[in-house]
Amino acid sequence: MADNIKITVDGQVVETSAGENLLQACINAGILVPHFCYHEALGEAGACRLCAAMVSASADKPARLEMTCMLKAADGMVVSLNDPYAEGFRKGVIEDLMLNHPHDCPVCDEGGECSLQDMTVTTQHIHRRTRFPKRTYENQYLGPLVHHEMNRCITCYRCVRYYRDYALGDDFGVFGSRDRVYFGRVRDGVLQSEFSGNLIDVCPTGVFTNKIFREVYSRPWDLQTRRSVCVNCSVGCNVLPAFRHTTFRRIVPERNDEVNRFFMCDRGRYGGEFTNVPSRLKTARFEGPCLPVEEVTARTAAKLKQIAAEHGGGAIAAIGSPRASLEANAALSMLMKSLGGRISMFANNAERDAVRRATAITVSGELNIASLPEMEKADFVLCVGGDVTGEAPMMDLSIRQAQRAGAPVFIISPRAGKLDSFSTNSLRVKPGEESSVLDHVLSGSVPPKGALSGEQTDFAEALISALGSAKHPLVVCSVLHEDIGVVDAAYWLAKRASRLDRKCAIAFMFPSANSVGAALLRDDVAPETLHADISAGKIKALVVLERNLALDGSPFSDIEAAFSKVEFTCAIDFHENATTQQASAVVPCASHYSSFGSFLNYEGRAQRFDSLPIPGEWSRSAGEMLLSLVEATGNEEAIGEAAFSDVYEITPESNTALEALAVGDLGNRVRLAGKLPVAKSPRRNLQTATHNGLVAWNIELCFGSEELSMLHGPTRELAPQPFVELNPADAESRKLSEGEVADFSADFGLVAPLRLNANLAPGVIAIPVLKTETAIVPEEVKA
Amino acid sequence: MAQVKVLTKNIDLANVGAPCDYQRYMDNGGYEGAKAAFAKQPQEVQQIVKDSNLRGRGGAGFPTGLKWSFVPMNFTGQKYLVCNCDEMEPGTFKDRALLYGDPHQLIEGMLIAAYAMQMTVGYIFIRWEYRKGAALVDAALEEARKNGWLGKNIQGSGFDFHLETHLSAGRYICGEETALLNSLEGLRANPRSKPPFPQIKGFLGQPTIVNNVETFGNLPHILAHGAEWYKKMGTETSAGTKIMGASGRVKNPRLWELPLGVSLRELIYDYAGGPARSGQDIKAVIPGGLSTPLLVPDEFDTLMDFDSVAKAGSRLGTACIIVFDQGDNMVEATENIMRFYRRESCGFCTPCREGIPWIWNMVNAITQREGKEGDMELMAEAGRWLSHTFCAFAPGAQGPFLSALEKFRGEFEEFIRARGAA
Ligand SMILES: Cc1cc2nc3c(=O)[nH]c(=O)nc-3n(C[C@H](O)[C@H](O)[C@H](O)COP(=O)(O)O)c2cc1C
Ligand code: SF4
Ligand code: SF4
Ligand code: SF4
Ligand code: FES
Repeated sequence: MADNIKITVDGQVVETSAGENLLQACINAGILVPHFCYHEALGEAGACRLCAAMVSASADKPARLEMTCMLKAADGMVVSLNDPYAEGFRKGVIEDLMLNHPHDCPVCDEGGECSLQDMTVTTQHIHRRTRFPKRTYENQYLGPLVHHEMNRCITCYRCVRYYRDYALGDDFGVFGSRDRVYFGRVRDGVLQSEFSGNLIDVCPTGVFTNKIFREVYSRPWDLQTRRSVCVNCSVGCNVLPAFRHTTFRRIVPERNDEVNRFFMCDRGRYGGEFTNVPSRLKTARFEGPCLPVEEVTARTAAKLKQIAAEHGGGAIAAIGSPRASLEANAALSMLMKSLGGRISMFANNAERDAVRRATAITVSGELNIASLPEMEKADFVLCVGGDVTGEAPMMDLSIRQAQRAGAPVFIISPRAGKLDSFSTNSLRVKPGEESSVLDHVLSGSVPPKGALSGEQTDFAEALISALGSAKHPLVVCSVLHEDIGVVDAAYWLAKRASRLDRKCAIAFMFPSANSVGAALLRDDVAPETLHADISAGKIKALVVLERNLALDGSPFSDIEAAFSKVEFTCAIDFHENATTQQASAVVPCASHYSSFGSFLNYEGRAQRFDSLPIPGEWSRSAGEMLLSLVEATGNEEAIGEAAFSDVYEITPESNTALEALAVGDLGNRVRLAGKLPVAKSPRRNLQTATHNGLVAWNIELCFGSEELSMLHGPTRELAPQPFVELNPADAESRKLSEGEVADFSADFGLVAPLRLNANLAPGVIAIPVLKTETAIVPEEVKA
Repeated sequence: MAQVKVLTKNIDLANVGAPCDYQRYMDNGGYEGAKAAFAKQPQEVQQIVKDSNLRGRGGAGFPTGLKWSFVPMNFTGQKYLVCNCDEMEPGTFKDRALLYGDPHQLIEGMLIAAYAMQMTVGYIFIRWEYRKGAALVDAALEEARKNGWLGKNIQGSGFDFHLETHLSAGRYICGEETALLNSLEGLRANPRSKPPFPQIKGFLGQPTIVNNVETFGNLPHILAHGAEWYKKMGTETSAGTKIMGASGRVKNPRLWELPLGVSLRELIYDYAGGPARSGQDIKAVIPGGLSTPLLVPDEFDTLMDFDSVAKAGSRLGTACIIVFDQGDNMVEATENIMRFYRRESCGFCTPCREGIPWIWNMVNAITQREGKEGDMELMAEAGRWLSHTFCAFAPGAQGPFLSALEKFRGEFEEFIRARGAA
């Protein structure tokens, strides 16, 4: 680490490390240095000139006006912010910036959280001394997420440094020169980056604002917020959801230095709109009529007990949810325990195998699981079997940082995603074939003739050589494609690549926000066994927690048919969907951003989120609802003090790790060796079914493939219409052409317009996962 | 002092006609400097340039040998040599004469510098308006290649040097060396922060030297005749000759090659022939292109060398003077000057991008007889902050502006008093 040094700032001695950015050193010490263009993640630019101070190398040296952001802290440095010349200069800078600024503060969307407003007040520029007309700009349409208001721009270049240099986007930039500099797109159009919402936060003024939030504007100080964790993928970015009165208004990222730090993705930022979905469940139902929720819980409990008594516990089952909290799943598990029933945690057997295996690797403590900041520092990245941008968006942004710093990025997957344009080497393989190529890397030897194609051998060889010289290698692997063979291949590669002098980090992209948490809880029955039992009429009562079986890859494609075989079904969720509609009893719960609980993210990091006491919120968290069910079954000793004992069971060596977890913590990485089995040796991929010479591959989209962000709000608009993709050669051999509506109903159950994609492996048909369900408006809302 | 013919031995400054072609250049002692350089070790060539006390002719007068010494000679990757021929400085047309008149002198100068720093690739960055000159240079480059002065294994020395022209898209800021490098890379012409200096991280992040056309023009002569010979011309701290020029209200606006240290008065009255309009005495001069503070008649005895002009509170700059006479209105002149800087600001940093247009607005209002009491103080205050910008552009605007405001206060006040009269 750098040496510790001392500098003096307006008489205050500040300790910092040599070479630290001087402005950052002051900020770290709690000293406000006015600034605009400097940003901790984006670095310095020297453009705004607001961070000026008198600086001298030591007390006996003459001081000069310097931009603190452009200097590195050195021992003995003397900094004076209070110097009248420096103050005068900073005031001059603000005056310059305000010459053309629309003095709209009372009606400006940014008001109350505007850095320009703060700095204007700080420098005490209170008098307008110019009398000339202001320049104006035309605004652009930037899509459904971000509103553009160029007149507010102070030309700090943060947006373009963020969008282009940091996030590596290319459809936004800076145009013009002199006093006509413009930040926008070549022409109006939807911003193509999955991280465009961060423009709102990096812009110190109101040029970029949240288009949804500004529609029903609220002053930031009127918002109620509570720290939470994003629910839209397994990364678990920390967020600050905000409510006004009873409605959800917006999400902004919240800093967690071990997770997302400054930024978040657009799916997370705008996906929270599901909170306002019109199909929110506001009342409980029991076999038809709406009843008070206490009544429904009481009747449900009675019904479950009755079935248990009549048919035995074996006739009762529950399905947990990877998007529900640990606490809710644990309470469900408790309910099953008290009734002697069984719980299933997964959608299908392949998912179960892959998620359990990846979870075992994640929590075993054997390999280092890379946090996002650790990913940024990787000097070699290998992405296996998925599309990072669609499956764990913020991992993509972190990998871009590693790439910017020079890390080679290798990608092996059936279809190129956005990250491929930054990769050193991309290899297209058929689904599941990732493992055979990686096996070659593992053995480090030339495979038998014909085992790999020339292209595959080249890729493997380039990978071996790049991996060899890396000090901080990283493997990122998809679990969403439910292939345990790929999970094992990634694990073995990372394991073998770890040597005495270096550890190879690994990270799995899981299907849901709490996949790891759910996988660590009790899981009595495999989904397909449960489904068979249901079809055979062996299940008399089924409780489904926060899960829409129509969209999650469960074998229950026809919910109505399946449920008709079950005497009593109960669904607990926050919104009406195909599952709640078919259930005999429906218990509404609070939506995620007004629930309390914990998630385990992809690292196994337990993070707690808090419920906001929202006036008029009609439901309690699913966990609390389930506890009242447990209570109503009369099994009181299961609750009480250790209400969530099952949750804490997952950390036997330190129960307190989870118990003591507070909202806003960095989070604890749960580690428990031996809970789940890790593969003893690399294993072969599963045989994937081929129809008509094609293997199906799911395209996991940032917008479209995640259930909650597809419920409501602008993220829906960004999802594509259904399509299928083929490699041009496959299309040609089938005499199909671009744009044509192709009929794959016999083999793959769909008819959709065809797109040709040369960056799709031959022999593969790529089908986007579109979790769209026609919005269901509950009866009482219609009335 | 008399005119000299060192850099202009092949050029008639009174009438720059067709360029000196390869044959004439050779007949007149061409590429002798390069031959002398190849006979020495690169470090020795650097030492000769250092010993000659040559200072950069791009405006700042930075010692060339010292500048070169920051290039890491043990660096094994690609290093680049760049010639700055952006010359968009108003009133300055000296590089134009060198470019159009004797392109081989530039090529030879660059070859010597390239050899001295072992840079194998070079670019000549040329102002867009000089595109005809660029074509002349291209032809000369072809001649040089044909005759073995460029390309691989030059004259059997084992040294390679590839040189090409690049036409600027046409912005004043492209002359600022780091903005030039960005522009050459195809990026926006914004200056870069220093450090790192181009000598360490320049073109494409590689060690790079940027020198002015005239700086390079001196090298063949220094190498051919030695540092001692060179130092005998000019003054002790400003060695050598300088292409000087005059434009504006003088009888004889043109260029001359003169030893550094000639007096400004001599330049104005003897060379440029004094006032162009009878009865209109000269009242002010901008000594070094536009971006230097004004000098007034009682400062005309200042000697035209780097240190003397600095002592007088201005800068030698390009040594191409702009002359104003009694008939010129300094408020209107200031408006014109600030209009230029307003137009050419790159827009990167606040005081320049916002402050200069504001100042221009005020000056313009004053010329329209719409000035207000307090405008002068306000302008001076806004002008004061132009010294703390990201690059030297705004300080360049500040020089003529603040000096006009100070030295011609009366003219501004008169206009402001005449409010509403126009
Ligand atoms: C706004 C601005 C414009 C400039 N334009 C030129 C130019 O056109 N030609 C030039 O040689 N130097 C110009 N310079 C100076 C260069 O930045 C640089 O100092 C010079 O090219 C170095 O060459 P030298 O060391 O040979 O003098 C300019 C500087 C500034 C700040
Ligand atoms: S749009 Fe915002 S971030 Fe971009 S330059 Fe303007 S003020 Fe800065
Ligand atoms: S990366 Fe995942 S957790 Fe983070 S904001 Fe996006 S969807 Fe939410
Ligand atoms: S002073 Fe600033 S705005 Fe002006 S040209 Fe230099 S960098 Fe650009
Ligand atoms: S923060 Fe230092 S110049 Fe903008």
